Amino acid sequence: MLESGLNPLEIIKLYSGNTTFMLMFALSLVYLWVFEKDKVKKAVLVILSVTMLVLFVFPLFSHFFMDKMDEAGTYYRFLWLLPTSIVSGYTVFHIIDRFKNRFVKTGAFAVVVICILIGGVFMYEAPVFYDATNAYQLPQCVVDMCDDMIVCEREYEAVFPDEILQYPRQYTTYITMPYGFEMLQFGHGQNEDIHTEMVKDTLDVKTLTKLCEDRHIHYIVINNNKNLNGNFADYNYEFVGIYGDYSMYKSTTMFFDSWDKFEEWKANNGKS
Amino acid sequence: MIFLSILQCILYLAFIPFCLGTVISGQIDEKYNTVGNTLVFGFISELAVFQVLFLLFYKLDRTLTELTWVSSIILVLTSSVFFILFIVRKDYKKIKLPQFDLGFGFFVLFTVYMIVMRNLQGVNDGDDAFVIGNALTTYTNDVFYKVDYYTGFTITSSSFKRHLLASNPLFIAYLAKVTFIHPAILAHRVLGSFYLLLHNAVIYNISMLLFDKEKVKYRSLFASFVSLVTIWDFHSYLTDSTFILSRTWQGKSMFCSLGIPLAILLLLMIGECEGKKYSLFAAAVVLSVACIAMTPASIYLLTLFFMTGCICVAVAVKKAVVVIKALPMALSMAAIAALYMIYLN
Repeated sequence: MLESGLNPLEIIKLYSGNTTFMLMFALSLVYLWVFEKDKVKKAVLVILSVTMLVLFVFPLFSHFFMDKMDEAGTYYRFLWLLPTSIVSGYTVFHIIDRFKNRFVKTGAFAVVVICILIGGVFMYEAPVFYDATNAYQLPQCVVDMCDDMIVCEREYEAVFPDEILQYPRQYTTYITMPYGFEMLQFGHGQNEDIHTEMVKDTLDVKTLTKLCEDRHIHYIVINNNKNLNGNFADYNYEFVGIYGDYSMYKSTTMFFDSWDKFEEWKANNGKS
Repeated sequence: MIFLSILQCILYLAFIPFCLGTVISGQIDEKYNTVGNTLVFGFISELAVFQVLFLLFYKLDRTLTELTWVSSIILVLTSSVFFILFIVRKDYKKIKLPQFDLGFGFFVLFTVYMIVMRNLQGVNDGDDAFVIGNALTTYTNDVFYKVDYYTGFTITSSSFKRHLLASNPLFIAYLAKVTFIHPAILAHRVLGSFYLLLHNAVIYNISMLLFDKEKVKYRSLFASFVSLVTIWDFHSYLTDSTFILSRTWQGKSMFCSLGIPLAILLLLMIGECEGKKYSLFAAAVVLSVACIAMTPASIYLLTLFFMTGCICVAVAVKKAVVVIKALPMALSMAAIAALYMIYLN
């Protein structure tokens, strides 16, 4: 999602990055507008694209979608309707076809490919990608900690730091959470008090554990970069282990076994 | 179990789409009756059927298991009938294969490269908490939107209604149920690879419309060129290429990789036959229903794009009837929009 308050031209600038491909697309539109003789191809590739582009920057249109329909954060999706790669590709071969000499054709194509490689940005070097270490394509530390949390085939409640909040429930539904990814997506959700404690630079262990124990949370996972103001062991949570950049703590007072042993556990621990 | 999963994947992602696709691709121009068009239009039909059934089952408050049974029975029976017709009528003789040359070899290499990278690289994206989380929650609990996919407790927020009618996460849950594959593995690997294959098939089929007669030699090179541009198009997180290659299994990305290219393909075909073939407009209606399953944004994005495209084509071929024939697609989108208003209110 984009921040609101951007105008359509700023969105185009953000969308097109170093503008190489958008410039290539714009030049292609101009070229095809002049030289394309097939009316249907011209209508679908050029006229339609130009119409979409004009609509995108047209103030009334953008005002309607961004303000009235509250789509400011996703208004950039209208730019998906511009078939940039198809129009550019068609133009490239339209131009190449005009050359009679085979070597000139090959040379022209090579020049275009080099321009793409230089002006483009390689997708798989984007920070959004990481090397998958398991079949689920989820961070291995999350898979490991979830596996260790599930003592029996039943649900356990755990609190996770924001950085990995989105992953546990993609892996298993045996892990429930006091608040989920909605806290990051919408900025609010259930149990905001626990989230407020979890995002502090220095964790107040006493307050956090009190909140978690009251909410009957079995596990607390914290980022190792956080400073701790207190010791989890003093407040009924024992250290389980380190998983990548995270440490996991487990309640020492809660029931972890299968539900058929619950009555026995209650009797042994003097719970009413 | 793995063997059974593979067989089920072949059934639901190859056999059923192909058989359903023979109906649409058999009706369009013979020269575009290709394997790619058949598979892509068939998959779109499969998704559209699931979307309609999901809306019905959600309204009737039924379970995923029941939806899975009914969808499977309908899809398997229908595709079996179409398969028999396909064999009896000897329609397989009419199916065109791509032209195998050096350029096509490059195109295959690009496709394989995309698929390999899809399998080797994970993606850090928050929307998966909804897509995969929702698929896994539905798969495990067997109910639709009763359990909060973010937390695992009873759903209390109404924010899910915004995505309610886009059934893509439930489609993943449904496929996970029939293939016995964990939704995360299914979406990230199997469906990710499958959608990239379909996307490249659509691009190749577009090249068939753009380059005919003496320009046939450019088809494969054009398709390779589009793949190259897609792979080198990380100019921002917002580009369609970024969505296609990173979050391939998510509805928005499916809209970029299949929805929009298929709309372009249909517009080119409608223009070429001057709007005479009704099957193309029927395919547009099927596409619109399938696009709703991908993302609610397609209600206005696809309608605007396709209807404007039809007006452009109508002007180009000087036949206003093209716009009139395209109206059912817009009407189906309007009906879905009305449904949204009902649910959101």
